[in-house]
Amino acid sequence: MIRVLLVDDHRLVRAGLAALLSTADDIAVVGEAGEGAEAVELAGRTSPDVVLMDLSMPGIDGVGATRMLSAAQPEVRVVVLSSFSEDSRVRQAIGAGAIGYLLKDSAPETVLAAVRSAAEGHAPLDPRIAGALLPGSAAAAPTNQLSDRESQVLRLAAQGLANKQIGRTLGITERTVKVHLGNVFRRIGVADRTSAAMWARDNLPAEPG
Amino acid sequence: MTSDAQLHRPAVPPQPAGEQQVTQPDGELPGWVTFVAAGRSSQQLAGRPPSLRRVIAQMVVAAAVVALLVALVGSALSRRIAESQAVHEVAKTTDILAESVVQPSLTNPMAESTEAAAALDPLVRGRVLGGSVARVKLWSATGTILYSDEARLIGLNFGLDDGARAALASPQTRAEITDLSRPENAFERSQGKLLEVYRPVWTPDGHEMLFETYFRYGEVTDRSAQLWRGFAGITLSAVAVTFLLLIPIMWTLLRRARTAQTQRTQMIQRALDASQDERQRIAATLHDGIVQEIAAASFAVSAGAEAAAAQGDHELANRLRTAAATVRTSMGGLRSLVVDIYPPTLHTAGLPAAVRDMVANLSGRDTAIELAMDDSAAAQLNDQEQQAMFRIAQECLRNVIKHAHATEAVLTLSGDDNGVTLEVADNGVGFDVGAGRDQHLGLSLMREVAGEIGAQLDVRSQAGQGTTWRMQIPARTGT
Repeated sequence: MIRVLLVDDHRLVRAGLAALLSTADDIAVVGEAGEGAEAVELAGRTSPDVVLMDLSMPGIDGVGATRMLSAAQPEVRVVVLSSFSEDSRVRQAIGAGAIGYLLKDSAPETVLAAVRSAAEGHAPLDPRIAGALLPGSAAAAPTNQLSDRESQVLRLAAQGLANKQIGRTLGITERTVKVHLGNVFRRIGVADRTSAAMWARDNLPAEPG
Repeated sequence: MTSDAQLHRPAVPPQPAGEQQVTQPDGELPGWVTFVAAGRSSQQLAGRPPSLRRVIAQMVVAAAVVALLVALVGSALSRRIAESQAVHEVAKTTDILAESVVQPSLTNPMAESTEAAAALDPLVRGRVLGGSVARVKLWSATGTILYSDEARLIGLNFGLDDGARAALASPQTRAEITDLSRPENAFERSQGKLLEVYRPVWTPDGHEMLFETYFRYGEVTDRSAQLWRGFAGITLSAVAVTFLLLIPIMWTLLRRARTAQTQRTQMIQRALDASQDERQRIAATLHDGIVQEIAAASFAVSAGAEAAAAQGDHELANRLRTAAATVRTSMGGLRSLVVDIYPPTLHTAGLPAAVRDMVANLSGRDTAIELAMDDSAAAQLNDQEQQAMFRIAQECLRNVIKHAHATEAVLTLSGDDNGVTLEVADNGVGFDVGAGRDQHLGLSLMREVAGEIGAQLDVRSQAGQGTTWRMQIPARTGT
């Protein structure tokens, strides 16, 4: 039996979810909480296997509650069930310790499957938001990882090309090159082109293809 | 002329991928076309009323100009009046001299002979010359000088000018400014400006002669100065008093204008804030209320479907499943609407994060979107400006995806001391910037958004050449 705690500030949503989960024989709802602090307290008493967590709530929100839960009870698996699909929210929630992220307009079988998969220790992610966590996506920033484009720009700068020439080579404007280089400098922690060129020689793999 | 197609349908077929540059160096593309000129934001467009100091300075300048005009006109006028008065006076003096001094002393031979006329000399020197009379001439009717206090003139014939002849023909006294260039006045040139007066006199037997006196012009100048002093005193003090009376009136008017202006600015600002608050509120209400209720309904209906299936009623189960799916679809639509109305991350995470989220969620993309954003640039902008820039970026990218048939687009956010610049460049089909740009709804939205915060919005495009939009928010000076 998978023990599930529901956290959502909307009573109707909790009721709908409880009804849905009760149709599965292997899942039992052990508690419902309307905000973050209550969720943490209830999880301490009921020791659920999986917490279905809403993000926007009054008081302590979903991200805060997730952080507190994963600190207090690391064995509890938090799956976010939100209506937000913005990448920054997704990264915040995952960063706080959630192992799964679903959107509220998911099909019922998807929700049930996600609860089961989380209980087994997998990470159920809605395919619509998974992109947020891929390193190559436009949204993966800010990390210390250089994007493909930034690597290209840095490689050309290291060859001694001026911004204008780099722009012409890559088909982008000088201004764009400048912003990319500024971001590159900040990410690799250098202040000028020379240092960046030296860093590129040591750290950047040779031009692919 | 209403459709997007008007602007975006390619005049040439879309280029195959990879053959075009997203942007090209300046000079190979058409120039920028300014869509919205940078300036004060529309909430400040009415401008502040001028300061009191400035108005008073302007009034002082105006008063000085008026005073100068008064001085010029007044001095010309008073000279004219003084001159005509002086002319009148010297004519009268001459009449008196002629009638009381000269005429009684004339003898018959004097009309013919300069020797006889010389007898007048002591009389002239004693009773006529001196004071303002500088010279005396006695002419014969034929234009010979019979007597003058200047001996070198005596006996010379210069003829009579028209004025003199007229004075003789119908006996009268005439006065005029002396023409010093005439030969008969050769000896008066050293005296400066003169007034001459002439009138006929008669010998006892009726011979007509012309008696002429010359007056120094200094008299006229003195009189003119006297008149001018009186005139100027009155006029200039009138100007000064008017000016002083105007100051409190101007001050009151200015204060009223300023109060009205302040109220107007506050009202516009309130309206703008209200519209932004409204968007935020609508988005929040939709998200926290309706979206959640729909989610709840979809779960409940799904649960009902499973329950029906468990009881063997598969027809009902299928109907409920269809209903649940419909509800989920409308929830998806509502979610993206909420983000459109007010991107939830814009306020909490800032412009670059909101743009990244938006780009990640753009649907139906065949266009690779490259982002180059300087996060510190966005930090220069306030909430309202970030929102405006977000909406421009959103509109530009939507146009790229919907209409441009581009393979690549680059969004650049950069900043420097002059302000913050957003550029969205694509390698799509471009459009004719000149044609129909007022008709497109998206474009007028962009115009409105940029105008609201005083940003500059430029576009550079041509059929087949891609499109670049550029929005610049000038740095705030001071404060």
